[in-house]
Order: sequence, then C-alpha cells, then structure tokens
Amino acid sequence: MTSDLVFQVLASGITNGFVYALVGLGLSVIYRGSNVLNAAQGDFAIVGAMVTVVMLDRAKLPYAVSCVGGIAAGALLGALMERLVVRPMLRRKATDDSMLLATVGLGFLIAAVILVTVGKAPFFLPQFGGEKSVDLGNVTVQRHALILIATAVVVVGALALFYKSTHLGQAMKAASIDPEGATTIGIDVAAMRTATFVLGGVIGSVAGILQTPLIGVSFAMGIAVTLKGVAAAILGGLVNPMGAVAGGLILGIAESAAVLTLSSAYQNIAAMALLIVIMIVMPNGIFAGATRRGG
Amino acid sequence: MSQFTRRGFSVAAAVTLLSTTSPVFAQGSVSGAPIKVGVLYSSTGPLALTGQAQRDAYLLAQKVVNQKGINGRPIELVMEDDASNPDTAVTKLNSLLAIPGITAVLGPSGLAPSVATGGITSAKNVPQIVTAGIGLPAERERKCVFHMMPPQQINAAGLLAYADGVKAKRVAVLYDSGFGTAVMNAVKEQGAKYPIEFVAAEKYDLAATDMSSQSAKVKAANPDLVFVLSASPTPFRNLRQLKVSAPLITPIAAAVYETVKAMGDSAEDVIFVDYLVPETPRAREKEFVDAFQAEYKRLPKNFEAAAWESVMLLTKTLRQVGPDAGSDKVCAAIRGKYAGAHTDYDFSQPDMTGIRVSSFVYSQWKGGKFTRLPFVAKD
Repeated sequence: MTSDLVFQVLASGITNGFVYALVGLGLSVIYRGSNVLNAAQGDFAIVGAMVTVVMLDRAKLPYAVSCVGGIAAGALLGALMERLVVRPMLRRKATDDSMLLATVGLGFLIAAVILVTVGKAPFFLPQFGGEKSVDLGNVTVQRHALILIATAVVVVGALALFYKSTHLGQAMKAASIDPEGATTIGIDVAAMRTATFVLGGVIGSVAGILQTPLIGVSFAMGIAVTLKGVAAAILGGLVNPMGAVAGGLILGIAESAAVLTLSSAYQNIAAMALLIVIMIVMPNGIFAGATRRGG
Repeated sequence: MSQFTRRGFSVAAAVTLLSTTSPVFAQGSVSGAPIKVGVLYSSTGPLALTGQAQRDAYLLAQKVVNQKGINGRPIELVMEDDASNPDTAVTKLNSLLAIPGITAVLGPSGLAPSVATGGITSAKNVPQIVTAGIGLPAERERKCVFHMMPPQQINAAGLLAYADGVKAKRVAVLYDSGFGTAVMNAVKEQGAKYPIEFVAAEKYDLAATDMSSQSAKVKAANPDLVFVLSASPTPFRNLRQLKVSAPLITPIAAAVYETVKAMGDSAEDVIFVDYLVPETPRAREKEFVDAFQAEYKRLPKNFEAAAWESVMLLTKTLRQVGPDAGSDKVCAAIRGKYAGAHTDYDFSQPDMTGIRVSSFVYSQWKGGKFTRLPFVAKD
C-alpha cells in the first residue's frame, strides 16, 4: 500500500462523500421542515440530471441553461410532491410510516416514468471544466471532482445563510419548530412546507447534476442514491442538515478506507457496519441536537 | 341514433377493442390457427437495456417467420414483461402457460429469472429457450431448457485465451457483484491453466454508483491487461479517468451500443469478446443484420441476435417435427447441433448450449464503431 494509493482512494472517498452529503442534506432539510423522510430524494437527483440531459442532448440548449432547467425540474417535483401527496395525507392524519411508504412508491413511479419517457440507456453529462484532470503528484483528480466539492461547500454555506439571514428561511424554521406559534404570527405553515420540499428538490437536483458527469444517470439509480443519502443524514443527525454533510463525508471516507484496508468486496459492509455502530452509540446521530418535529 | 347506426358503432367499437388488446402478430400470406409461443423478457427493471433490445428482435423475427409461416400457419408471440425480477417472471410464466395452445417459451432475459422459470417449465415439460447463459449447475438437469448465450466458463475462457494470446502476464480484474462475479468465479477456476498472475481483483456492488476506489487499486497494481466484468459504463470511465493505460477487455454484457456510447472517450480501444460485429457482418449474419437495420434504423448486437436466434431455432424445429408434435418431440429435435446466424450451437452438450471458445469474435471500439480483430481463440 503506497502513499499514492492512499491519497488516490481518499480523494475518491471525499468526492463521493460530498455527493452523499448533498443527497443527505436535501433529505435532512425536508425532514426537519416537515417530519417526512423522503425515500424519493435520490429520484430528485435523477430527475434533475435527466432533465438536464434531455435539454442538452435532445433540445440542444446551452449547458448552463440545461442545468437551470434540471434544477427547476427538481424544484417543481418537490412542490408537486408536497401539494399532491404530503399535504392531503397530513390532512387525513396519515402516520409517519404511511408517509414513508408513499415516498417509496413515488420513487418507483418516478423511475418508471423516466424509463418510459427517456429510455433505458445510461447517460453522462459533460464534466464541468472539461474532461481534464489535476495531477497532485501521482494522484489524479478530475477537475470536475474539485468543482463538485467546491459547489457542495457553496451550497452548504448558502443554505446556512438562507436559514439564518433571510426572512423566508427564518419563517421556514419557525414553521417547523412551532407550527401553531408560527400561524399566530401570520406565517403560512403549509406554504412553508411546500417551500421546504422545493428546497429539498433543488438540493437533490444539484446533487444529481454534479454527480452525473462522474457516475452517469439511468432510470434505476434513484434507490441507490437515496440509500446513501439516508445513511449520510442518519449518521449526521436527521434533523441537522449540516450534520448530514459530515455524515456524507464520513460515509464516503469509510467506504474508501474499507476498499483500501480490507477488500473491495467489503465496501458496503464496512460502511453500513460503521453506520450501525454509530446508531447504537449515538441514536440521534453524531451532530443532532434536541429532536424537533416539523409541521 | 338508428338501430343500424347503433349496431355499426358497436361492431366498430368491438373491432377496435379487439385489435388493441389481442396479442400482436404479423400475418403475411399465411393463415390458420396461430402457433402460440410465450415470451418472457425484461421491458422494465435493471435488465431493461437487454430486454427492450430483445423485444425488437423478437418482433422482427416474428414478422420474418410469418412471411412463410410454419407449415402454413403463423407464429404468435405472446409477450410478457418480467420486470427483471425472478418472482415476477414466475408469475408471468404461469399466466403464459395457462393460455391454451402455448407451444414453447422463449426467454427470460436475465440469469435469475431464467433459473426461476426453468424449474417450472422443466417440471411441466414445456420447451424453453433462454436468452441468457446457464447459471447454476442444477440447470444442467433441465434437459428441455436451452440457452442461447454462453455459460460463464466460456466467457472466462475467452478472456483468458486473449490474455494468453497477447502475452499479458499481469492481469487485473474489476468486476461487479452480479454478472461480474459469475464470470470471475469461472476465471478463478480456469486461471491456473494460464501463465498469468492476477495482480488485483477488485469487486464492487451492482448497485454502486462509483467504483473509483477499486479502480485506484487496479491502477496501483500496474497490470498489463484489465478484465472489466461489468455491464455498466462507469468502471471503464473510472479506469481511464485515473489514467490506467493498460488495455481493457470485457465480455459480452457491455457490448451494447448504448453502454459503449455512455462510456464516451473511455470506450476507445476497449476490446470486446462477443459474437456479432454488425459493422462488418459475416455472410451468415447478413440477413439478420440487414433486416434489423432496415426495420429499426440501427445496428443489432448480441442480445438482439440471441432473441432472433431463439425464434429461428424454434421455427426450424417446428417446421421439422410439426407444430403439434408435442413437447417431447420438440425437445428431442432441438437437442442437437444448430448453425445459428451468428454462432454454432450444440444443444446436446451438458451446458445446453455447446458454444465453443473458438466461436468468439474479438472486436475493438475504434472511431465510433466496432472493428473486428484478427485474434481467434483456440478451443
């Protein structure tokens, strides 16, 4: 095991970790704002990526415009999920389990729609910054991977600033912490919940667009992406979006460490074993504060 | 509305309803009761890439067969989607077998559904022609279940023969937990026969979205040649992005135009061990390749060829023994040598396929197309 190999694998782990972090971040945002564990979060990523692919490859639109279109699609999907599924179920006093099952079903539905409308083939988007790599000694890192990491950091920072410094962000926080209190001061709790899902859709689609140049996108990938995001969010603390970022990084690096030190066959085993150990020792996640329920 | 108009409307509605719900079959100049053949394929699920390609070939074969028919009767393919799932395949198979007059079953597309359905057709003595290779040793007991794709031992032998032929001493393997593991097990069994050192064997989960860590370990091993045992384009891209310069060779699963296109520039110079190079078809393949290209405006590849072959094999058999001969006669008639459009079979062999290593065609992706290589493996 050489130092070059260690750093190369670590670079892969960090890149993957940021992808998991973004998916987990979207999941955590939605959970904190609505108490809904969105099992279709990975499909937000897939939809965002697929719409970008279609706009770029078939409609021949500029890449930047296509990316905006993909993000808009993720936002719209989030809004539709809240208005058409979550809100009616909440009105009918649906349980958390029912809500989770509904999002699982939505994930399958989205995959089926993508298969019928876009097709079965895998697609890749062009890498941001071109198909170029940066050599750090004998370690090769794709320029796109560095852009992915930087963008993920910007998204996380922007999200923190959004909740702290904007009227909408503070209203969404208030609606999730105390729905009744928020209503009395004139906050539309239902609208804030829609905004939460829109935000989750935006973050999910950004994750999808960033990862697709590296790993591709196909109709069946949603569940695999969701599972990694769930693991990241749970590791970090489901109600703490910033914790999800840390959870994603821990998961990505743990997977790479397993490949490096054990056998590549143990990649998922080691990562999930770590997740279970952390869950036993810290059931609310590494960075969760007091549990809050959303509205 | 007059009675006449009401009746006419009802008849028109009934005709419209029947024509949209009845199984589709193309009827040329043939007539008589259709010969019903059940088809299982994966139109949805992870195997959709394979299954939808096969569907096109099945429909084309039906159209071509029905130009003359089988002893004057048309063939009717009754098609069901198994969703790439063995349980669904069993359910759909049972519904096909419940249809009166089902003569045989073609498919499914994947290994797991094939293993699941073969147990049922075998028990009910229904001839089945599977478009996947033999999976478990237990399948060898199923003497009326025939396979149009090679067993993993042959896929492995094809890779090892090439490595030996090009004098590659240090070979690394990157393989997935599905098809890749099946081939890898066969590579491990046979590897000792060759003067090859396996310097890395890195596995990744079938559902994994990234295998760059495993690719990094392959790179660190400094191989002469890399076996990539996967149907996904991602490992090829990962390896080239990490500047693994060794040649990459892969078996049949990745030899699909959509997969190769998704590899992007990483596909350049990848070597494929498969059967059909439609850009330069051999004489025996020309009819199929030309017909497919004329029908669908694209070139076929191995999975389409396997589906086409299965229909042609059944057609030849039924023309020989008669469409009402019964399962035992149909099975006995298939169980022998068959010169297919793209390869030779011997269904009397224990692997229910009889495909030999020497029947592989080696090609390389160059400049946007498959280019036939002169290498021929020895049996």
